[in-house]
Amino acid sequence: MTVVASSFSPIIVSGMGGLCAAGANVPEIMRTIYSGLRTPVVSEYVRTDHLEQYPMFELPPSAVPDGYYEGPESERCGLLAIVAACEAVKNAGLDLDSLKEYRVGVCIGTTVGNAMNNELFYRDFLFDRLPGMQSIKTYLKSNPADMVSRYFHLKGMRQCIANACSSGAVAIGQAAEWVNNGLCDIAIAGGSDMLCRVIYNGFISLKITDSRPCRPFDKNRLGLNLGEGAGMVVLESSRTVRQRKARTHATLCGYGNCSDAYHISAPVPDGAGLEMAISVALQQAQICHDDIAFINAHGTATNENDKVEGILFSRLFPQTPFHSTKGYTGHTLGAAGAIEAIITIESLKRQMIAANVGFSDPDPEFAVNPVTENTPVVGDYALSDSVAFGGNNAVLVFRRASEA
Amino acid sequence: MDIKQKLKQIIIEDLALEDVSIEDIEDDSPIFGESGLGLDSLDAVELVVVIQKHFGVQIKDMAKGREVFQSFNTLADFVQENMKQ
Amino acid sequence: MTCRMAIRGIGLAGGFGCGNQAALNALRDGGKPNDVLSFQASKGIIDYPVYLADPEPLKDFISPRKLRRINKYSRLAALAACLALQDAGRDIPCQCSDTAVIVASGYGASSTTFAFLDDIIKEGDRFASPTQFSNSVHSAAASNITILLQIKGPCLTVTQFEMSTIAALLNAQVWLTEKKVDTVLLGGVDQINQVLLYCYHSFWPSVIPQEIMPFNYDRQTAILGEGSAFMFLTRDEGDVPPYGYIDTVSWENPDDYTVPDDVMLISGSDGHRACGLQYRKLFRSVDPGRIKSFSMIYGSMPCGQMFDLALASLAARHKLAPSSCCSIKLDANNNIGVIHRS
Repeated sequence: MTVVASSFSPIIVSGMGGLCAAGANVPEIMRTIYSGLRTPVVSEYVRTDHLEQYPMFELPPSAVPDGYYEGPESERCGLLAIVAACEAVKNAGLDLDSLKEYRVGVCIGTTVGNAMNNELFYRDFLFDRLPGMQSIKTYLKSNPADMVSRYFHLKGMRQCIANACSSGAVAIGQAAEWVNNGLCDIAIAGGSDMLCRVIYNGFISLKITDSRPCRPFDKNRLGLNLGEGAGMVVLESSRTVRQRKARTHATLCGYGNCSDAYHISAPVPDGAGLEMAISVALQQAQICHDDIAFINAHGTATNENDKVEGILFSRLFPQTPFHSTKGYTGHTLGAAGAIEAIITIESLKRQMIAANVGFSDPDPEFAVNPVTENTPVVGDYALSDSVAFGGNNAVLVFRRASEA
Repeated sequence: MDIKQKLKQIIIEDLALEDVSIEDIEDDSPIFGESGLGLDSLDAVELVVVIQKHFGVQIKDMAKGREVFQSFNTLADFVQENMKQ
Repeated sequence: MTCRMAIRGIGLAGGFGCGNQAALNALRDGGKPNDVLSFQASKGIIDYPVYLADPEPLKDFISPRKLRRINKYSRLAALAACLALQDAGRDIPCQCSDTAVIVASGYGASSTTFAFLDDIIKEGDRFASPTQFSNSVHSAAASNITILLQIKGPCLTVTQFEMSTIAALLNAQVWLTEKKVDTVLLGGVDQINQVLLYCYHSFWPSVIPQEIMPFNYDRQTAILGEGSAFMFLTRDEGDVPPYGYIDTVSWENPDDYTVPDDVMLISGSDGHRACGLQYRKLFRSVDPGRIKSFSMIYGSMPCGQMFDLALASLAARHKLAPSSCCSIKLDANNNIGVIHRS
């Protein structure tokens, strides 16, 4: 099924911020991924009675100013989003005062951040221990988009996107469309997610987690490692960038969002939804497949996901270097698409992509393999794709900023 | 009720196969795939939990699952063997 | 700037029943809770009037076999979506890629999240159900709709409590303006359960409202409701749409917003006292005869504004209300969602 894409006016990424197990900020994250080192750990905090322990890419306690699990856990997604947003806003040369001069929208992807899954509360409820309402009050206040808006004293539109694993990418795409259509002047967009027992147990029950560090695209991959963190970008039009004399990290020039319409937890085997989303994004960017210098794949290291991407890349991008960076960050769910957008932009700037850690043996099911060492790339355009449970596919295409 | 009957009943109930009855299912018919009950990968991992819950038998990974879920015969044999331990 | 949106189909399922005729009957007769949920409080059993929705009619559109793993949250959304498509004269399933699906929800599939937790807490972590987990995410309704109706266009789930409807509409407007798609199947869904009832009881221990009084701003009269409201939207092109247009959608603040003085206002007040006081302030200079509320028809729920818009549109078509009106919804964070329709 072919689709003709709508037009998309390029939107500038003027600020970026992020934190995850690979680093407390964007420069640290990039240092880690270029170092090839990673340290997933068996969590001290997320404890279960499974016989096997599954390592996760957990943030250190120092990552959030208020401490690790102090306070009701449902605030954590918002707190992580705030930390990333602070870095992004500062990086964009903005602050509380200057933000007041603009209509600012906030768009944040998350899965845990909007779910009513406070286990301690529910446990007490289930056993008739009559839990108090404090954690519910916290839940009602801790929508991450509300928390970020409150932190920056913003009064404009804000929303959380709940598109499962593509939420972070979708949030960035949607926010760019808001700016393009005059709904706001500047947008703070990205994703945030946190580890918790519900998520941990859920993914283990699906039997798609690896008890060793994950191996994206490897023949012997056994599944994903979970991760947590946040990635936020500041998006604006060229008009406000010129006005503010702000920097341009990159330009978002294509955003594809298409559905598999296939299955609630497995991707469609022929990758048709992802292919359509790629096509839309490329058409909007007015480029063809060969113009893509590299791809940051979704690459969760599950059998199905990597096979779909591998087969699709073999057909559509047979000569294009690609990598998954989830070997360094884990699968950060709602944050993934945003953290990976940031990694894609940084890699585009440096014209170098990091090695796909965890890969050593090619999978005979597809003809292409990810890069095994830090690899120079040449070109102005890069693509980052996200494939979600339930079949949503989100693709972002970025163009390198021209040298100032 | 023998193990095979029990398995069929449990699968019908826990996987919500409203339109299927125990009599409809042959012992050697495949559990998965088009010619079977039309179950898929999500049903397979759900079945692992269902077997664990009702019989206390663990299926470690889906490679083992594919082997064991070939038919009700293979599944019943596996459950019977592992229940003894 | 963004375009006007044409409303070509409406689908509703809630305490009033299912379908436009049931909704019209409720619009004429007034609407009231249709069921009771019993709650075991420390002092004994309390019967709370509630608005419960029944997704059973979904089986008229989709074979039961395809629904076997689908939770009530997704079924309600799918039912309203099918009704909207049918109302718009579209095929079911759609088999298309030029339609987008946008779902707004406040609490998401909370019942499924709790069912998932039930297994873990009562039996142990190893008994977590992967089926429950897959369906417990907010995005399950939108995903299930795309799967059941074979819609391959863009898909989005937004969650912003009472602002969820505005959030969804703003995205729909952008997608239609940009011609990303030609049509949007847009709706809201929320469900209730014993946990929400427990929360209601804990927040307001001696309050058991029998009737929502949306204009009695000093009292807590909210009654929990569940259901789904969907609309089939297109750009303002072609034939005059049966349900008129969504002219503007905007996000406002109390500091600098005054209600329009020349249209009927549809107040989003649904009996919650905290917001009630804010509504009173906002409407203080407005003649009460110019303000309507539909919350007595469907109950109190975060995506209530989706019902307000759908019911206002249905009422306008059947001459039960003026064509031009302005729906206003407040939340606890000083946000105002404003929709002008005509």
